[in-house]
Amino acid sequence: MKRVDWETVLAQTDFIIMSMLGKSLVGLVVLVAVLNAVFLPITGFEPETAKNLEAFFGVTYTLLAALLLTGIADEIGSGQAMIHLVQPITRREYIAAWLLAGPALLGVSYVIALLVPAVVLSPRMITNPAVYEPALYGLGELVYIALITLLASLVLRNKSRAVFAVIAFMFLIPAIVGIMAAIVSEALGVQISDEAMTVFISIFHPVVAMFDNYGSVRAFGLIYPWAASLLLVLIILRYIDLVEV
Amino acid sequence: MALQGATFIVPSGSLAGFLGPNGSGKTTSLKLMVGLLRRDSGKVLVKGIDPEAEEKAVRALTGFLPERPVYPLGVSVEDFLRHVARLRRVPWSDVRRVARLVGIEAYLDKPVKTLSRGYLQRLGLAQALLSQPEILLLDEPTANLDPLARMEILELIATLKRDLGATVIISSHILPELQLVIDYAVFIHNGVVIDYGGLEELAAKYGATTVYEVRVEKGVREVAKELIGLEQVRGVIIRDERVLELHVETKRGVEVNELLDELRSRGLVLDYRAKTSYLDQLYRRAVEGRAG
Repeated sequence: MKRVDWETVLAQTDFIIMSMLGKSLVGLVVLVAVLNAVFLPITGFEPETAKNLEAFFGVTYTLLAALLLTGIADEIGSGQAMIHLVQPITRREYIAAWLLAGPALLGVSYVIALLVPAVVLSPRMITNPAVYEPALYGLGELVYIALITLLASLVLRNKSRAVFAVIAFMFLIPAIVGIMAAIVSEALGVQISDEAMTVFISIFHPVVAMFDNYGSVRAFGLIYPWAASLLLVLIILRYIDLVEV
Repeated sequence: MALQGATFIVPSGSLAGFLGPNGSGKTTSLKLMVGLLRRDSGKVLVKGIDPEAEEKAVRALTGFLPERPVYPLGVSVEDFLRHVARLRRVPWSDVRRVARLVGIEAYLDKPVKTLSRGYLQRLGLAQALLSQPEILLLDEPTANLDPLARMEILELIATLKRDLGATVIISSHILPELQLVIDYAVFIHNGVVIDYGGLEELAAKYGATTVYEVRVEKGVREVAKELIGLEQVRGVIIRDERVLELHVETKRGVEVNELLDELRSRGLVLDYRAKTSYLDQLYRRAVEGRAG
């Protein structure tokens, strides 16, 4: 395994956040955070409700990740990656910088979305440990979404196609399969268990599926989603060396 | 483009032309040299370093200007160069020095997207020059520029080479303009390096001639007589009362230039210019020699 120079990675991460993502997209991240912050208290803002908000955050942050992190597909496809890769930076460091930049922006947005209403409207939430559990799961989901988006971008090398692939993977495929399962189940009179559906959904949303804690999946604890993320990292690392510009 | 037998040597401190038509393998070679492309087989070494295994080491050693560089448009020239300086571990103060060197100091606070093509090439040179690399690789640096900007960039490259002492390799398919600045050439054809060497050495090897157009104030016959007696001159053709054509051995070009300069200082010659590209001729003969 080649050594990664973190000073280089951080320099590139800074630059991505400053420029590649652009002021308008950073603005979008803040906007989503603020909207979430406004929306959150309306739903009651209790630990139980906060859990359900994960689904809402999942949609908005998947879309944001698709917009932000597919910037790397744009860079590779347009040739802009070359002007970075002719500098003393390895492919791994370049991609690691994107891996940091995306979740960093999304994570900050996510934390703002949780903290602002908490501080303003319900300070007692800050001291309630039950609130942190969904927040941590949400952050875990962000990492998974970021990895999926990055992988789609590296493989497809085209922003539009990568955005579509992410949306298809995160929403369309699970929805279509869910509908088809319901139709088949109805037609054949076979009951598909919640556990089976959860295992299936966990492929697309491992953290959320685990968080929804349907018996068998819960048994995997935190291992399952992070093992899935680790697998994605390994696939990306394997793929990095094949990236040519 | 598949490369085979693309080994060549460029002496340290040379300004070398990496020459061949479109699709001959120039860009592929340069990209392999900095590890942007992966080889299918064989070996790539730049100063003894394998760019595939040690991409960072090779990139620290080289400055590279891609053929059609795409820059991040949402940042200023200074932001971009400062980022490159950070990656290359050079102080930020170097950004201003290099910007001055390539003539974009006045544009540092401007967004990259507002630069003209000529100034984008200067920006490309600036990013390649930060940290004063030992080897400067410039892939078609004058492509897509207007004639004036092309000459400005070539003159700038020649000045930089003189001032910085780096080894410069310029790839190009436009041979005539390069002969004004390079002192070494590498010829590539269909993915094969067919020859390389100093210009004088190659000119002697392939017996190239250069045709000069010489304009005189008056006495065209007297000037012709003076020139025809010289051993490096192969022929003189009087075109009209004020213009003559001078055919000389390319390898003796420097001597002829000195002589014409002297005639000009004596008022016999108004001006002169090399009319034909001997690099074209050399390249053609090298390809024919290979085929034959």
